[in-house]
Amino acid sequence: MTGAIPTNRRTVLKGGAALLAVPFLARSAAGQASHLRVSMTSEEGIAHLQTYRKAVAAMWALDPSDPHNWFRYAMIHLMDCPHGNWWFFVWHRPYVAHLERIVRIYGEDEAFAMPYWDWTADPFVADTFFASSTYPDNALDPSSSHYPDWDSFESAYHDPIEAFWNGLSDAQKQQENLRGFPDFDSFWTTGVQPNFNANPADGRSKTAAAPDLTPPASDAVMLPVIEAGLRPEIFTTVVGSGQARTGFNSPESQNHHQGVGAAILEGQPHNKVHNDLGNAAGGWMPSLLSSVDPIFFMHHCNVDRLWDVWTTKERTAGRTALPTAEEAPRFDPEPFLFYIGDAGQPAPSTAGASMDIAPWGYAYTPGSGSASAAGLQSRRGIAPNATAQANEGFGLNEGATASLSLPEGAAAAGAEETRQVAQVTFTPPRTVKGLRFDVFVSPAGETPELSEDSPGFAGSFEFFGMLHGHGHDFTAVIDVTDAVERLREAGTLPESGAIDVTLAASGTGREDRTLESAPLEGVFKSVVLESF
Amino acid sequence: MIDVVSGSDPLVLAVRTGPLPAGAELVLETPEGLRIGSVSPFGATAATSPAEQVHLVPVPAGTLPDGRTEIRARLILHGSERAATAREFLGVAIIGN
Repeated sequence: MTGAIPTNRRTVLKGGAALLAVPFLARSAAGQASHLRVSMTSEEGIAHLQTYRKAVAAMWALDPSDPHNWFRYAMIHLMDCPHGNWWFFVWHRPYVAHLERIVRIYGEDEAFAMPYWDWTADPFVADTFFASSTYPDNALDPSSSHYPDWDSFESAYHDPIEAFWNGLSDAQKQQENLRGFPDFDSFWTTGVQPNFNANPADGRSKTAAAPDLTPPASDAVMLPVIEAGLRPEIFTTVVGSGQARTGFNSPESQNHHQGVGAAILEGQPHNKVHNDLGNAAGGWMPSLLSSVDPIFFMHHCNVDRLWDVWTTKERTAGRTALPTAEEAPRFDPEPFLFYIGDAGQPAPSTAGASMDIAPWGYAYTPGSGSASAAGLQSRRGIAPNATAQANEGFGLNEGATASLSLPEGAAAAGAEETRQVAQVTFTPPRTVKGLRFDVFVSPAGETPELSEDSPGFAGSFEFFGMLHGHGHDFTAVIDVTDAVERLREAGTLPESGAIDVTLAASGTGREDRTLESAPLEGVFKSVVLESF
Repeated sequence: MIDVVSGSDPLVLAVRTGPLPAGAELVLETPEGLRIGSVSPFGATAATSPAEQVHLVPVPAGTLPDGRTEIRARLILHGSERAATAREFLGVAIIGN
């Protein structure tokens, strides 16, 4: 099964966005977040990506001896990143957070916050990451002139990197030895060169004409997989006979260079999206130099967001979201010795120091998977989410309905104060070619006109590609704020906030011949309405 | 072989593998060809990969029939595919959730 793209989001993206004044939160005396990380396809996210592009170009232009040179910063990942073990999440958090601070300098925007790539909602590489008529030499595109071929790279970078290596501390060299790089020559020939994308034209497998994730990555980012990754209630996956349990995190290893396996979020969406952005010809993202492709940081920002979603879920339920007391002495002291700070200074740390996002000064807007935790807590003063089961069949121009009430307080608020986001879960028909799935909002008990011209029309989405025949449920995220607001303006929204959410299929006008023979019955399972 | 007992929650399979080549996908399926899920390694190197690794694969509830089911594995690498060897696919078990 492949992903679906809500047309309202894609339209915003394709229409482009002027550089907006991106608000960031005032820091309170209580130390609340000063920066809000948003989806990279939101208007605010697109604006942040303009800053990001400027910074990446500036960092590429730095001398290779400068630790803020773009490749030098990416090289940290090759030298030190954990994969396939329980330090996976905690190492990448500071790696992304330090770069966020560095981008504020080179992008000349103190308000910059790293956007996240919500691949569940947006299973494609956004337009901003490709060359365009506006940005023909786009620094976010690995085929641009900023990215050297091997010969040019070796000529410019070999000696500065060797000088850097020779300046490593004994402790750092010990880490590189554990990683399989006992000396500079082995690092260069078995580390840098095999992971270097030699031909810039092959830097990323996706193109502006074909940006979508493909299987297995497009399957792995779907909400049921994300929710499966968020479901565990222990930090570490425990393997071995007798006591095996699924944890949020990958299994324990002896050191952070050792790969012993992968839990769901690391192994499924994380790994598969990495691999899907390259192919047999090459690509940065499938390699340990993956962070040369700037989209790496949006990818890992979403990984970090999901860790924060899980942490919040766990702590709301009264659990620590941490390694056990027995595990902590082995987990916490693990040294991470290669980070670089915003002043270019070494910023060594240990695993136990980065278990929360608060010290880094950022927070996340809700994205895919947030609703799994949202029901356990109030969200910034808005009442808990409204949920409703439907379990009703729908078809071509035949709707199925779930009835629920807007969260308390949201019925009275205007659109500028709150946003209403619906997560619509359904079992699609066996084939989705030629079909579009439409969501409508109407006053409770009223049947909406099933047309995109209807005032109750909230949005629609289409699948790209074919179902794999597993009957997976799918959850699409639709912003229904405008539709709710039209009901309010028409005076038809009840004071109680009682509404119906209707899901129906319609034809796209393409592949119409499939509609005659393909069974078009799906099942509308449930809807969660989230206010924020 | 795994023993499936139906329920409302998705299953989680613990898939034991040997070192897998970079860029490979280890596809799990039943003898009838029903695709269950896959493992896609990332970041492993020969120097850092132990002889055995464990990867978790979620399987939606209702995908597999109740009772004993055989799981087979294919290896796909850059468009070519073959049956996984005994050193690549070591076994699979349902793990507690």
